[in-house]
Amino acid sequence: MDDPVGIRALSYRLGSSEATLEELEAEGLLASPAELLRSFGFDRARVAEGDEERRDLGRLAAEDLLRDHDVDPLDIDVLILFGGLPSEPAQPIANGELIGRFRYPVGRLQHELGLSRAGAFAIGQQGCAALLTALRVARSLLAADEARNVLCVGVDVVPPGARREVVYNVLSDGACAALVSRPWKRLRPVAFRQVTKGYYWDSPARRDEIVAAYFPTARNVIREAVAAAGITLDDLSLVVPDNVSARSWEILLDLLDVPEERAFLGNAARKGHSISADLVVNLKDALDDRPPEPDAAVALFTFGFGANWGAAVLRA
Amino acid sequence: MTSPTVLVTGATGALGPTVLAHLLHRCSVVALLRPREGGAERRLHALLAAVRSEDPDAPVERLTAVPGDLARPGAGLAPDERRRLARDVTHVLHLAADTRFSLPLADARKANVDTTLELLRISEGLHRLEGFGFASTLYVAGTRTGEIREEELADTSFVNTYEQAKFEAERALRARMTDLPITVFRVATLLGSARTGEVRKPTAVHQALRLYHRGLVPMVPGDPSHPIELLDVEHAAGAVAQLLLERFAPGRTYHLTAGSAATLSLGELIEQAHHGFGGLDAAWERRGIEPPPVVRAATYALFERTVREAADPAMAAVVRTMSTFLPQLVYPKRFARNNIETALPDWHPPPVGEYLPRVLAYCSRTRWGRPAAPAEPATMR
Repeated sequence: MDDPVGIRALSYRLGSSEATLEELEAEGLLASPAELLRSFGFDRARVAEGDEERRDLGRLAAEDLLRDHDVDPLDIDVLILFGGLPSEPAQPIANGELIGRFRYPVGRLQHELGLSRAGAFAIGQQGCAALLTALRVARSLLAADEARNVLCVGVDVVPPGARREVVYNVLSDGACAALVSRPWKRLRPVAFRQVTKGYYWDSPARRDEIVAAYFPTARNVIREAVAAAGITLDDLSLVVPDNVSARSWEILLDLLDVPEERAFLGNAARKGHSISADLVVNLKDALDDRPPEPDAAVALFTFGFGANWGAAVLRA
Repeated sequence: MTSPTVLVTGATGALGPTVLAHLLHRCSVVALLRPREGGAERRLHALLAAVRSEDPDAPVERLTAVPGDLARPGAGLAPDERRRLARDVTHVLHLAADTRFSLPLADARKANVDTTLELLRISEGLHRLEGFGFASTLYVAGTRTGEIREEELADTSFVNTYEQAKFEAERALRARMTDLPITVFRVATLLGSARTGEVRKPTAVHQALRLYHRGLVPMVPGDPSHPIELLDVEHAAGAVAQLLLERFAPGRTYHLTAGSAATLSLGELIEQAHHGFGGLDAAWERRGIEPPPVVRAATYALFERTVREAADPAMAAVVRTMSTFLPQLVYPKRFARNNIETALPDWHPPPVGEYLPRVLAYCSRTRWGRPAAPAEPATMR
């Protein structure tokens, strides 16, 4: 099976309204002072308006992709839905009946998008690292000749009443879609590296240890992904970050000895941290903003509570 | 001719009992013990037990104690006690120090400079004084880099107030070397007992290892190839006792370091500690704690600033602790050993990597603190 596997199309949708840090602070939706979060690289959050947008953000992102890239829904073989947050709150058990629990957003999405031929499943419990897991599964399915087109859709919408801040990161509502196809020569994933450290599964209880573990593990995971791709850090043309605190990326790039100019920074301020959609948001914007040379090496990295550190290397 | 008598301060400290175990085979020892809570008698009992645990054959009957506090004029010694010391004491060994790195400078000076000056004043009245030994630290060299020679004490800046206070105390002593027989032992960081792994007084390196063990050290500033000067207590104590009583050379300064062949680099220390923790506890190994990367000073400073700004209480406390000593790692030094090699050519401390596992095992077993020494009856002089 020598046909290349590549990311054929990307799209994303963020919440349609914006809230500044000061507005979020005034509403009691931040744990830290707005000023501190601004110094960490944030400026605003994107917020989905109303129940409809909240529910449909993922569908809207996927529809954009199918329409803009002229993809026939019937050509999609597999649909993978992912998210860092549970996509729907668990339904109460009425009269002891469990059937209320069997309401799966991935089925609804498959139906609403008209992906009648697609097998559908979801990936969860990966935190912000879910996208890379979805891409890895998609690549494996394609490489095994079990599919030609895998549509990965990620959705994270902050539940009503929840703060829009987690550990100094400002959260946006966001959804993304990535179509992974074979044969496709551009944006070929050539290496993945995921490290799961279950010891840190209880994020609130292990918060300080997670903060301490973040940098050394992140550095190792990125180095290992780059080594698995058969290149060095110097060979990277572009580093696509997630939209966590810009300060933490500054430190991480320093640890890696990768110049900041090679990373696509700045989206955290403009768009906030849309949990598992960040890497698609930033990859798409980076490709639009500074398209890499064909075959240039692009690294993606993110961390998800749970705890998962994930990195990938693509060939543009 | 009567045998020597050594007046020792800081006898209950990190080095004290081991030095005493060496000295007692050669002379009588008078320990100046501060009358703290619990009483000087109780402290003497603990000291006797500690000396016996170092050396069961040490002739502890040669050990006596006098209550005294160098923070007070004349150490608060009773006149007859002072007269007795003036008559008997031949050597003074000043081991006492407040090694806390985070003290305000005024307090660090009070604890480490003023007390040294007070002991000097007392020593001036000792009729038989042959030698005054002062336990200093390698890090009176502060933020200097490169080769540090034994006889020099150059002006510099400091990473913490302990370094500065010891520098000032040493400078005051050096000014008196023309009229008093003074020698200075600049001792490397004591890691613990090479024999048992026991750590009598945890220091900065133990704090760092404890935080590492707890998975709370995200990075360390410095260069992985630079040596970390650690020394076992037995060799430090043996050298101090010998240099004071058998090879005393007034005006001489010694760097008590393990030597390049026995020393670990920062990178090796981190790696070997990691293996050590994992070997001690499979559950620790399963956590997947990564060895902290060794980073540039600027990277560490950025991390430190971020934690401070975020004011996250737990991580801020960790960084506060680490920042009192970790910055020393970005000032690499080579400590000359000419004097110690000439004076004690057969003095060869064991490689740090050889006994580090024992120290880690001790720290782990005692939860990074020292179990109380058993009390036993004894009398104050």
